[in-house]
Parts: sequence; structure tokens; C-alpha cells
Amino acid sequence: MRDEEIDLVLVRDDNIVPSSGFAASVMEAVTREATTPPIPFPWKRALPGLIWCSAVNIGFFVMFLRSSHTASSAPDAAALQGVPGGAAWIAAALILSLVSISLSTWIARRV
Amino acid sequence: MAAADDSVDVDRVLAGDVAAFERIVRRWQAPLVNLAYRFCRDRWRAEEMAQEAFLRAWRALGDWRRDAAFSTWLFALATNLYRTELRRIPVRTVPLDNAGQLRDLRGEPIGIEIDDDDRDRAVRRAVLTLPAKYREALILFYFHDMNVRDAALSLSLPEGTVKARLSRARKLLRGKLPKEVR
Repeated sequence: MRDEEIDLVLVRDDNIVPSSGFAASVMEAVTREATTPPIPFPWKRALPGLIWCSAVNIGFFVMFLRSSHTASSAPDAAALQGVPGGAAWIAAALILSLVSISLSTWIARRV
Repeated sequence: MAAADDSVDVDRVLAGDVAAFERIVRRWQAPLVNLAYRFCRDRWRAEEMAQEAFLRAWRALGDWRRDAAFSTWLFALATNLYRTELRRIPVRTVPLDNAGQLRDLRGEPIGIEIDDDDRDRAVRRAVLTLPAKYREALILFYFHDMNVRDAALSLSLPEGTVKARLSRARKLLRGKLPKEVR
């Protein structure tokens, strides 16, 4: 078969007519979605996890403060050099969390 | 006229008039169902996919930027959905080579005359057996009456890429046709 023959066959493809109830069925689904209130965020289920995460973060923060305090009181040059490095890690973790939250929110909005 | 109607109806829907969406559905139901049908060749599934496309369009109506025609936006959205759906649950096709050959009583192959309808059916079936990226380019190109620009917009691809895929798709298609049709 030549290209022109393939064109001819495929361009005059059969067309189907949507069934008589198609538009009504679509509108029923749309109306159902429009009238259904959005699902509220499950705070009750999420709360224990959020509390646990906050406690862990606070724990790490306290540990960091203590270690930096110890480092600043001791005249150890190596320990002093470690403090800015720790701060950088915390900044990186915060940025990573922010990116993760933004990405998941963006994905949730698209679904 | 249809473009202006679309714009008015979209404004009404965005203002909270859900019923205005019905006019959009009635205006575009045939093209969207037919596009889905060309992807799957199953009437029931085509309507199901088209319904999902309309639902997604309704949810995302606010995302339509007026720099492109409403139909362009709608076809791109529907195409994206149909492609995803068919990659998730592919169309079941029988390889044309496995269709078997008619034989006479002595077991000799019979040379059969193929009429135009048989040939057309074989070509359309062969399209479904192509790899996804070539199949999609071919379907959109012929759905848009052989308009490369519209096909490219629906596929969100550059025109050059669509042209290259069309050329390769035709070659592959010829190779998949039964000998009698080739």
C-alpha cells in the first residue's frame, strides 16, 4: 500500500454516535461531584503522627543546641569547625522538607 | 461561533452555573467519544474514557488559558487521559500474522480476494498493534483530518517530532499488514 492509500483508509475512519444517555450521564457525574463537599483533612488520624514528628524534631534541636554549647565552651578548633557544618545540614533538611511538602501538595492538586 | 460559545459557557461554569457545562458536553461529546474510539475500538470503553475526560475538564476548567482555542485545550487533556488509560489497560489485539490462512481440501493455501472493507479493517486493526508513540501520532493526525499542527498540539509535542513519528509509523504499519493487503 502506498502512503496515499493508507491516508485514504485512515482519514475516512468510521465515526460512532455517542449513546443517547451519554451527556446526561456525564452531567450526573459532574453534578454529583459539584454537590459533594470536599473531604476534610483527617486531623484526628494525623495528629498522633504530627505530635510524634514534632517531638522528634524538638529533641534533635535540643541535642544540637547542647552540642553547640559544649563545642563553644571547649577551646577545640575541630569542634568549632563542626558547628557551621551542622547548621548546613539542618538548613538542607529544612529545604528538603519544604520541597517535599510543595511537591506532594502540587501532586494532590493535580489528581 | 463555537469558540465564542465555549468561552461564554466556560465563564458561566466558573461563575457557578453547573448547567452551562452541559452545553459544552453536548457540543464536544461526539469528537471526544470518537477520539477515544480510535484509541481503543471499543464503544463502551470509549464512552467511559470520554466521560472521565469531561469530568477532568470540568475540574480543570479554570486552567484553560484563553491564548489557545478551547477545543485545543480539551483535545490535549483528553488525549493525555486516553494515552494514560491505554498504557494502564492496553487494548487486546490479535497479531495479524496469527490470523491464519484459509486452505483448500488438500491443505493448499487459498489465494483470497480481499475487498475494500476487509482491507480498511485490516489497516485499522494494524494501527492498534503499533508501539504507543507511533500509534498515538497516527491516530491524532488522522483524527485532525491530517493536520500535523493540531496533532502536535493535542500530543504536546513539536511538529517535527510528530512528522518523524508519522513517517516511521507508516513504515511499521505496512510491515504489520497481511500479505494480501501490503
